[in-house]
Amino acid sequence: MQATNVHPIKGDTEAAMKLSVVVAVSRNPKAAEAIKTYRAVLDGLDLSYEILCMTNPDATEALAGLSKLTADWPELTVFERRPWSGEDGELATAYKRAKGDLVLTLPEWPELAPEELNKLFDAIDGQDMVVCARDNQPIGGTRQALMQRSFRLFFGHTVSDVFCRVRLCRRDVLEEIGGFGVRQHFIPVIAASRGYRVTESQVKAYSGEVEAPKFVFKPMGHLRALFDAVTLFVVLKFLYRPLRFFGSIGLPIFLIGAIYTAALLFGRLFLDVPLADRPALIFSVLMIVLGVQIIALGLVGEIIIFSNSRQIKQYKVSKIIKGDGKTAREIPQTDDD
Amino acid sequence: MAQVDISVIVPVFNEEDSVGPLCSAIVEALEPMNRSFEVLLVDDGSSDETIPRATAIVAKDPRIQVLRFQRNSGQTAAMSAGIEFANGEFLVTMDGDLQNDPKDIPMMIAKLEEGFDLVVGWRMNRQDKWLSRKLPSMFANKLIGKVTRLPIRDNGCSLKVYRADVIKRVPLYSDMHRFIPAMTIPLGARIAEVGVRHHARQFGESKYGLSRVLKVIVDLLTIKTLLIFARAPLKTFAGISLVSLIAGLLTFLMVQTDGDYRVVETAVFLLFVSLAVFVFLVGLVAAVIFQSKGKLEPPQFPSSQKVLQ
Repeated sequence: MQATNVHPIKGDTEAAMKLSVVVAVSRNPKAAEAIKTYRAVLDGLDLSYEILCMTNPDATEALAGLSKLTADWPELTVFERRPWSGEDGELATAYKRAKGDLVLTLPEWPELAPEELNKLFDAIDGQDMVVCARDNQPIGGTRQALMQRSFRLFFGHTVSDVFCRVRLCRRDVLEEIGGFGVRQHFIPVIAASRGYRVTESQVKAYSGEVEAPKFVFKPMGHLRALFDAVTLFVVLKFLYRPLRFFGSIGLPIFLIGAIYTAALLFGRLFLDVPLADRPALIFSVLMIVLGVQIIALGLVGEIIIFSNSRQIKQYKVSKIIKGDGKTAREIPQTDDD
Repeated sequence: MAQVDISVIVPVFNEEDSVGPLCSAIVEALEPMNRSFEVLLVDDGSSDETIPRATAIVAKDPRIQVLRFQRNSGQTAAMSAGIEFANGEFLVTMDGDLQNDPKDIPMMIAKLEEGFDLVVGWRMNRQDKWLSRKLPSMFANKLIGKVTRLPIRDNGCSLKVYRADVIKRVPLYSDMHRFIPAMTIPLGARIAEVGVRHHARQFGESKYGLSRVLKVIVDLLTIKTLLIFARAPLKTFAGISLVSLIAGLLTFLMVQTDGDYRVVETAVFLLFVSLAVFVFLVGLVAAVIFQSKGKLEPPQFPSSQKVLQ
């Protein structure tokens, strides 16, 4: 990884960093202009901040613009041309490097009016993540509805503006969600389904001309997204209860196989129905074998969880509140799950 | 924090109206015992006024603490956190909705000190709807008793008292808080059951519904399976492997006695043998896992284990 411009952060030490702004640049050659539109707002926030801008090998033109921008914007750090496995990979890497207590994700083209960013910072109080709902969503209709239905089906939560990439969240939320793999549009619903407080902020969409990338139908890409959603659903729902997942698949297969085998044997023994020249018995026994194997795998998973249950914490204590008879003090807890 | 005699663990989630009266009731019930105590309110990610109100209570009484979860993690996680952070010799768990009566705690601790490891409450005059709450609960309790062979009358009652050194060894995960008595089976815990008071919910709404019945059944099957396999993993898997091997051998004998080469029966024979090998190997893996976590496998099911009422 090569950082073109790593600067000390304005004013504060690294430990006191309050905000990390993360931008993944891959398709917009004018990304520098887009990012620049937010500078006035970011400078006016009265927070120490850093901007981590990840670029991929295709973003040659954007990289040139961003490199110029770093000259007079010390908070901006550009990471050059590493193949990150797409936008999701870029974001995952940036989230790992982020040092701020809060992480603001911005897209490479302006999605909302810059001054609307302030609304996100107002809304984060008491919340873990703030997502945007633009008043004039450029992408909607069938795709939006389909995504919302899928999210609700798999994760039990959805957001009004699925395709908006602007979001503000606490870094420790991303640290946990990062473990499930970062898929851009899934982040808010994963956070909500993990019990984090996710709220929406109504914002005005960017009013200027935007050359946002056009939607391209990629069957394999959409198939991968669906596969990711199913995988995430299984992981989120059955991470601590593998036997329930494997059992719900293996037990029906086993039972069908067992009943079928019993019927075949009954026919052979009492009704003189020949079996030797029919593959039915192989099929039914195969179902028994498959069912037992699936259940056994689930059982091993459950045994692992059971045996490690005192080490695997399903909770994170954010603070302990104690009193001395007059006042209460909050003791933040920093140990990880 | 220094060791105390009693830790009361109360998971709370959006109980802004209950938290004040609850803390007062616990303190009133425990102070006459003249024993040191602490109250741990485990906030499971409340979004109402629970935390500000609890903080105000904590400021006045240093015996009360709040553990605040970063996010909603469920009742088992809240219980688990409370148990981990508790410093008491005896741990009391109860609901935060004022349906349990803290006045029962002294009586339950007295029972525990008779030589039990776990005292379970059962709601004598339960103030819930018959069809949606009592009937499923009766069914579930019967079923749990039959399956675990531990006939607890009211598994759903959260008011329980434990010896800390016993409950801190019980693996708690997923939604297993309902099955704590069953989970103490491998530890050979002595369990007593006593009748306790029950009040109708005064504030807010219940977080449970009929949907949990199915969850309880599935959890129960999981617990039972785990308890069977935890006792002797290799032996149990080897038993299943042996059954598969015998089925394979029987099929093989059929092939031999028939004389002709029977493709179907040979294939079935091979399937059963492969299953036998697979299951045995899985058993080896399970045995290694349990072996590496020796503290969780005192697999002595004491025949003397019983519930005293």
